[in-house]
Amino acid sequence: MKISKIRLAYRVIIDSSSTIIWDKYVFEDTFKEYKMQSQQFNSAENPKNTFRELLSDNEKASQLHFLVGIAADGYIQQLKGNFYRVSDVLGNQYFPFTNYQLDIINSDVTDISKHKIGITFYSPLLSYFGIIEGNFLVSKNTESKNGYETIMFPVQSHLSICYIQNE
Amino acid sequence: MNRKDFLRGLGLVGIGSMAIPIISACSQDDDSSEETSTDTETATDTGSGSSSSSDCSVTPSETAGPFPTITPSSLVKSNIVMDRTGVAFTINITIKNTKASCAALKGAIVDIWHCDKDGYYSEYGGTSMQSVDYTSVHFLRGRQTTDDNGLVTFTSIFPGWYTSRATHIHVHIYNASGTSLLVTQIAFPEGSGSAVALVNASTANGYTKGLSGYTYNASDNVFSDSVASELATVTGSVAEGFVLKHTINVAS
Repeated sequence: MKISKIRLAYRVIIDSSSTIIWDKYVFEDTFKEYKMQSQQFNSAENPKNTFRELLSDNEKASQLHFLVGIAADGYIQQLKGNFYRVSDVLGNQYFPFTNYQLDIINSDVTDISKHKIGITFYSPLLSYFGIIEGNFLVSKNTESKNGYETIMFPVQSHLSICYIQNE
Repeated sequence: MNRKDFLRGLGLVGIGSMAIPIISACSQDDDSSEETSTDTETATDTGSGSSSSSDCSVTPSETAGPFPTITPSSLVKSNIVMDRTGVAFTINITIKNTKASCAALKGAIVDIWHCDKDGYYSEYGGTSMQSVDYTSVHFLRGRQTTDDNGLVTFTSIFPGWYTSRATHIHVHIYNASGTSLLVTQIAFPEGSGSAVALVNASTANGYTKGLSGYTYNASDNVFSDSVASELATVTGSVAEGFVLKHTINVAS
């Protein structure tokens, strides 16, 4: 049996309509950080309120994805490597992640309701056995041996294979 | 277990809508005014809890989390070394206010960032995600608030250099409410016997570039016109580490 190794990615969108407390904390703190950090990329003569306007004016503003992401880091550490919103078919294992990347979809220093970000969580390397009954069949065990303990994550929106490594 | 089940377990399901205000009231968050509208309401479903039950078995245990708590930005730290190595370096920056006869400015927020011994900044490195752990690459970036003397102190490693720039530290100063006051850079003394010369000769500490191809302050396109007021005092030795002292004036 040919077994690939993959990474899964799950992206959560956080905006002013988010109701989960974790999301609200991340929303508020990343907006505060955006307001602070965006000032160094804005011009005094012709300031831009929104991130997209700022980015088209000054491409260095793309650093804000990373800089604003630092404000979310403490909250992501609290998850201790499991994104609980994505559970397996059994409902007792969660999406494991080792890396993440925050991106600013848009924001507006004058209007917090326009603030919208994405956070993409990247899984560790997983053994991949294909899609069974609409589920990614994977194993955290990437060492080649005869048997594998497997997990099934339902195929769903915002869940993607983002990396494939040939055996 | 989902939130609803957890609340039901506590006999709180009838006031589930209050769960968010209750939790935020326990936090340090300033913006918890939303709780006031509900805290006088009387619960109509008080549950059928086991508080007066005659059952004497041990209450089942439940998971403690995950419940988020308010966390300051990871930027807020005095020791910014993280996983980087190099010659020990203490950075002391004093902020003064030109609108108050250059008195020390208390409560100013000071962000600094500088490159590592090899000239690299912490940033997400492109799109490959095979081996780099992006969650821990916030090295050599920090935020502190000035004390009564206008002073902030960071523990770091002596920065290296990269093509076309002299050794420098970036600084962004905000007032207490986060409004930007000044974005600037700190320059280093150079020449024989300077910290820049001694550190970059220290291959034992991993500074492998030497100064071949180095851009000196006079040729640096940031410092060449203004180095006099941006030049720090740097004392110490490779063995003991170096200490930088610098004063920055802002109009606040």
